[in-house]
Amino acid sequence: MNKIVCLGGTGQMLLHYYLQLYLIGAVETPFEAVVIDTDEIIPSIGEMSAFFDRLSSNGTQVPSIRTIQVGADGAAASAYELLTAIHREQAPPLVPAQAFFDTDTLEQDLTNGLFARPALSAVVSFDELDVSVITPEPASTVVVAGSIIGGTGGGLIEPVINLIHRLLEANRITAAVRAVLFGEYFQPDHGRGIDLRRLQSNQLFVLRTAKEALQELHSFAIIGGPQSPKIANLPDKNAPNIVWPDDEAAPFWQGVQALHHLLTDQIRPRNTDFRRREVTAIPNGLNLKHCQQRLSNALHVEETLINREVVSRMAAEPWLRYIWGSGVTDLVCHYWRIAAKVAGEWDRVTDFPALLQNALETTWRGGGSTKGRGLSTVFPTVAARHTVRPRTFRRLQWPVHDHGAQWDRSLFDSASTAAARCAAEVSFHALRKGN
Amino acid sequence: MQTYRGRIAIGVFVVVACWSVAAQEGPRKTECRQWDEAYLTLFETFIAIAFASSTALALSTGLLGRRYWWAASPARRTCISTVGTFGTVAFSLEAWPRLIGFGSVWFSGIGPQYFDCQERAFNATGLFDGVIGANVPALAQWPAITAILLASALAGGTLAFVAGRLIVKFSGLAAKAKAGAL
Repeated sequence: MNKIVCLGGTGQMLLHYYLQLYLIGAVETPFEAVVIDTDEIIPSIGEMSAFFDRLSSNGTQVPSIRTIQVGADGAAASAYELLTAIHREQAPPLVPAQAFFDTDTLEQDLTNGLFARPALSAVVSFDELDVSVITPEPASTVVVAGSIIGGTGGGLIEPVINLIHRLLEANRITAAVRAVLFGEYFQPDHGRGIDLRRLQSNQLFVLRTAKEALQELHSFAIIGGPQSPKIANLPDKNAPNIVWPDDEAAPFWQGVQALHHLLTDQIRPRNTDFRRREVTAIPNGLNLKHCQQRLSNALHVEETLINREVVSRMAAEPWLRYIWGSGVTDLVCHYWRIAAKVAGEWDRVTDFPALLQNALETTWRGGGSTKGRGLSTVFPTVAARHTVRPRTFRRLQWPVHDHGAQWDRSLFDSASTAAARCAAEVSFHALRKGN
Repeated sequence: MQTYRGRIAIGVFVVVACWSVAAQEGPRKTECRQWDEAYLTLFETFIAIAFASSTALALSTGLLGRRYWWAASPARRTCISTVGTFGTVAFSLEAWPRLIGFGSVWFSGIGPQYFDCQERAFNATGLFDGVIGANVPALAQWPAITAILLASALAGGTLAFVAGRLIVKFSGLAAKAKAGAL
């Protein structure tokens, strides 16, 4: 399976969009994603990660998401505390760390990122980095994505690529390491203490050292730059329903295109000249209008599944096969049997369709026993409306579970768990195939 | 000239007067009884139609369930079929004569003057051989007829719903889940 290593906030946002494209079926092949950041993992990625975890245990091939929060030592709020292991108020007037960092940098709160200070990445420890997570599979592709103007991306891209290279050599694995690098792509927010000059100098630093530091790259794409369109207001990555870019030329969409191309391309040779490894003409593999249409269709199918109470209808339907077909009904029956096994007898799970309908709703809208805010908050709100007919669910390609297949009893502790896992599988296929 | 006009006026007056007298006489009792019996036969037929139609429609509208959401819900399609059937038979038996009149289509055996029979005593049979409203013309018993047609349509809908539940019990989702092996 190919791997995406997402660095910093920009890498996370790129993954946020790419995972959505996978969920709506625009991206076909599953992949492994590793998020490395000094900041918290954004809620939408956490939501999708939990959703994929529920699916993967059912045997469905889905992306896996591993999140690594580096340098986030709970006791150390700033670089100063991290380096000296002393609380700022109790610290002596002079410490050796002051030889390398100015006072502003040392005072920087590390719990919310490196704030465009790549030098601070030197204080980030890779000790907690599970190397097995970022070791590529043989003959696969790894794409490292992040911004070269930010602190986390700018500071970690080169060490991470070098680490991957060392792992490849140590394990004698051949894999293509590629990168999507974001240059200047947004207008800095002065309120957060980040100015344009700092971002530009970060960019210059990475690009100047790229030829030596990124020598192992198979190919790379640079998004943004002085002449490129810039995002005036970066979306709040913690907000629900983050909107999609409205233009193909928007930096994040360009980044998604580049990521998709570099991740799936099998024919591009590795150029000996480093400068020629830059991919300047990115094929339009993910047309924005087409993807927006897919998104609209997928969301409508999923919402219809919930609003029309499809599972409750199925349970009361005499003409079951005629109206709903065998695909979705077989899937529900499979999990109903598991629920009955777990509960001990059928009479205890007569309300399974109601449980499942409820689980579909909580998977999508959050609430209930789930801690998340629901998968619907991952996607942007779609205003367009179109009719979804009952036959849509009949025509979907539903997964087939072998009747004689073994099932892992440890994954199901109650009928509600069976309903939740079934809801995840039904939602997943409704989103991906509902086009 | 004036004499000629006067004769025409007298002639018209005589014709109108004769027609008026004939009209005031109204239908004969035997005609009323005959028409009342015909209306009762239609009423009984419509009871059967209401029952059979609501049963058949409630079950068969499931065939539209792939296309329409209302038809993909057993309870909803039973309600719609029952209400639709009742509306159709009530209109056909009760509203039609009052809006369009007797003497055509399924009312071809009933004279247009059947309305006048409501004010005459002609020993009317009453509904269900006199169980309801003996000696009252059937046409005048529209509240009872409406209630009976509604009851018939509801009975048909209920039968279809019960039949549907039985099908669900033996071959529905739960039965299918129970029948399969894990």
